[in-house]
Amino acid sequence: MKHFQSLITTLNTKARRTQVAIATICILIGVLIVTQLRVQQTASQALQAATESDLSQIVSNLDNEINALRAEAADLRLQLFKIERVSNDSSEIMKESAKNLNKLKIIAGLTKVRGQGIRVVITDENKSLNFYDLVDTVTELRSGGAEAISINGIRVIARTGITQNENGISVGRKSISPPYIVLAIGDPEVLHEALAIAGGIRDTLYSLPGVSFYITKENDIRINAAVDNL
Amino acid sequence: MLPLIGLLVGIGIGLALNIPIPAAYSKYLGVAILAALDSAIGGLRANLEMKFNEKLFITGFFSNTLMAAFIVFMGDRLGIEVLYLAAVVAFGVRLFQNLALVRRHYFQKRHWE
Repeated sequence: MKHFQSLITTLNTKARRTQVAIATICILIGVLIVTQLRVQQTASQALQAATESDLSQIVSNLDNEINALRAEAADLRLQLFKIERVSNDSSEIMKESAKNLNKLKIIAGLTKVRGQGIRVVITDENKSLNFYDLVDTVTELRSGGAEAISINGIRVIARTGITQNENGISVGRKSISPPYIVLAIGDPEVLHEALAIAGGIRDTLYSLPGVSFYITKENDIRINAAVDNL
Repeated sequence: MLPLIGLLVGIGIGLALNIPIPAAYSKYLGVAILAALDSAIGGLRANLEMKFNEKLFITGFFSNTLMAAFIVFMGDRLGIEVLYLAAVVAFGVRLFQNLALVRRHYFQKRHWE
């Protein structure tokens, strides 16, 4: 009986130790399996676990994708190029038109003009100047490339008449009196030359009694817009 | 009963710890798990055959798992990537043999023959 009991206890302890040992190992196995399943789950998205044929399939798919994207990129580049050219053209046209408009506005006297030019001061003590002397001066300035001209503050444009009656000379419909100050915007050198050329308008007017004719080159001349002075 | 509880506890621990392992090592871990399973089933079989020795069992478990992983590693290093097949086949065959024996002993024990 005693022998039997001791056998049972040893068996029990031995059996328990076995169970504990196997259970311990099973704990380890459980941890390993879960870890491995986790890794496999993430690795299935990664490429490490892929076989060679899988990889080659993936690579060829990616190649196709790259080619498609390249073609698309080339397409889009072409489109961009076309659009750029069109917009360049239109902006070029706009610029050109704006320039032309500006030029026409200046010629029509619709805008104030400011820039380099010359100032001509003509004195006439004996009233010996005639309207055509001023017309000649304006003409010379125009042929010298003047963009804008004024006489005593009155803008001279294409339709501005310079006339003369018993009271004196009128520009537009305003009579003016000496000294006549003529402003012209343009290349100062050319304008100066146009007036001061030997045998030119300056020499002609200078020879009249009581008339002086001074030309100065200026950097900043301002000429107002034309009022309706017909 | 205790081994089953141990397995569940292990799974719980694994889920709780979430041990990060580089994907490159998962191959080694897979073969190691195979070896570990083989060891555990072998332990069950030895237990049923009444010749279980826990020292043998524990050392066998660690040496088998580590050697299995090492063989795969060596295969990669030597350029024989299929060397892991050797471990898989060896442990797979043993695993099924042990399983069959465990089943047989279990039946004999219960006198179900």
